[in-house]
Amino acid sequence: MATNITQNTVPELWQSANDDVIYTFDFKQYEISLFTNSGGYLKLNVSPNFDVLPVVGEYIFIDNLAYFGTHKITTVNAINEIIVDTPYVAPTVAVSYVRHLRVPTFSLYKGFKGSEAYHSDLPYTLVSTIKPSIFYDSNALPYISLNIRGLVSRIFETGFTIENGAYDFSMFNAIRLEWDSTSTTLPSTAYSYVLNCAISTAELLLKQSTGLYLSPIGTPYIYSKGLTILTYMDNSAALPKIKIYINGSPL
Amino acid sequence: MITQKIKVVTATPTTILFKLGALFPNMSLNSLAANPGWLTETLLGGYIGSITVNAPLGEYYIYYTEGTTSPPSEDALLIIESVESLTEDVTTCCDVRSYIIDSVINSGGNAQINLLYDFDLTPKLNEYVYIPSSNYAGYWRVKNATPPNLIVIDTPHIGAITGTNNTVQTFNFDNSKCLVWINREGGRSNYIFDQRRNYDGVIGDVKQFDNGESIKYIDRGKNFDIITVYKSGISDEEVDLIESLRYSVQAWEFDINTNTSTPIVLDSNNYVKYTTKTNYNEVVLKYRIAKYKTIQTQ
Repeated sequence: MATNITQNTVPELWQSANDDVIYTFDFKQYEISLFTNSGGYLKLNVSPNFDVLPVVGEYIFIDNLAYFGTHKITTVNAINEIIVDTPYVAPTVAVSYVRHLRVPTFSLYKGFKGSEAYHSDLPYTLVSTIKPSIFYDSNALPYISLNIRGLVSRIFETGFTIENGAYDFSMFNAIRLEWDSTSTTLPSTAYSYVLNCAISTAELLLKQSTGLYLSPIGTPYIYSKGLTILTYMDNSAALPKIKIYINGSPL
Repeated sequence: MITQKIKVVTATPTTILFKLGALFPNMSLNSLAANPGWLTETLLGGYIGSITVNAPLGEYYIYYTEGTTSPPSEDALLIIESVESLTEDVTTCCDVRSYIIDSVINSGGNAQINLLYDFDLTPKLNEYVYIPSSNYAGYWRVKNATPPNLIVIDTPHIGAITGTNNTVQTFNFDNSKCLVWINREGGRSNYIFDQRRNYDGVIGDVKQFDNGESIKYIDRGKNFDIITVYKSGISDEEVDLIESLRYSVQAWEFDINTNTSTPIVLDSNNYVKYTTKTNYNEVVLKYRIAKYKTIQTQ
């Protein structure tokens, strides 16, 4: 299904579950091919067509100086022609754009799809659906922003995992948003990972860059006698796994 | 007295530079005490500029005075702890014993270890044993154990044992409490408490009724086991590690012998840390076994 928004910012590959997890989206811009007077109100024609057929009652955003701002749709003649509740005035800028301020319903999923690794450990599961608000940036341009921190901090089922070399699946999960039959993608993967930690994402990334033991002290203890249980990541893109030492030697 | 403690690696020369400033312009090693052979003092303008240590394992106390007439005679104390590794620490949590292997035979595809002499304490199912010799070298879980001298380990039988050290080592963890917890960093941490322990219990919400000249229980409430563990003589870093347990969302008591875990509840105010002037730390931790005992009503 076509969509009227584009992905802008996505979270880091690894996110702390107790820090902000923010996605932002921009509204696509459609060039206005014609401003006309329709019974005293503004009629717009766009080219190419809107990706999604507008609905009466929805809003659009025009960046032409004569109409800069948000306007309510009163009539939809075609997928490329609408009338808004704004009196017609002669446009002041030749080339201008309109944004269709339709906010899709987002679905937050955790886990991995059937075709992806670790699906059996962390199956693909709907967490929640979200209908976010529209925000305006410092230039008064509209965008969508979602902070799903409150949702992702509750997606874990803490368990006891002490199996040397096993991934600690109860401490992390993959997340992604779906809307209009498409989903968020990161530069390297289709999803972000969320770690069930209480430190900030910045601290987590710093820890990953300086040493990959998820430990409260800088250099973890490896007891020369007895059992040592640690969580380790082979690199910043790897999944955390349990590492066990007995009497200072790895199992 | 000023006290400072440093940790160095044994048999590795370590130079400690001094910048004493205007308050202590005449500080030097206490002339009343002979310097140990592994310590070299380098004077700067007649007074201490640096010392180089190359210490055997142990903890050493070095005193300094501020000038030759400075009372008291020992103004500053430097504690040097010489350890095997700065990244490791030693706990004495388990009793390691070695036993001579008589033979290794095939038991359903796995290696069966037959001892020449009996185990003092036969390893339990799932417990780890260690074999140093070459073709079976490593830690192995016990798949089956038949007292007094036979165990089957979870590795395929690949023939007779080779090498010169034909022994198997067992570890007795019975006298320690291993706590595992989720740390704030999103990982697992553990610590072994192998010193003094107190066992106690607590009863909540006891309801009674007057049965005519006698009081009887209606309900004994929830009965929890409480355990208090003590650990003394630990470093500041160990204290930091144990302290992180206070902020853990979930912790368990882990029995390595049976590979079982029991959730525990640790109240933040049930943690006490003592520190002496020489940074000798002791922590006391009281926790509750989260699973309570059900008692019938009457």
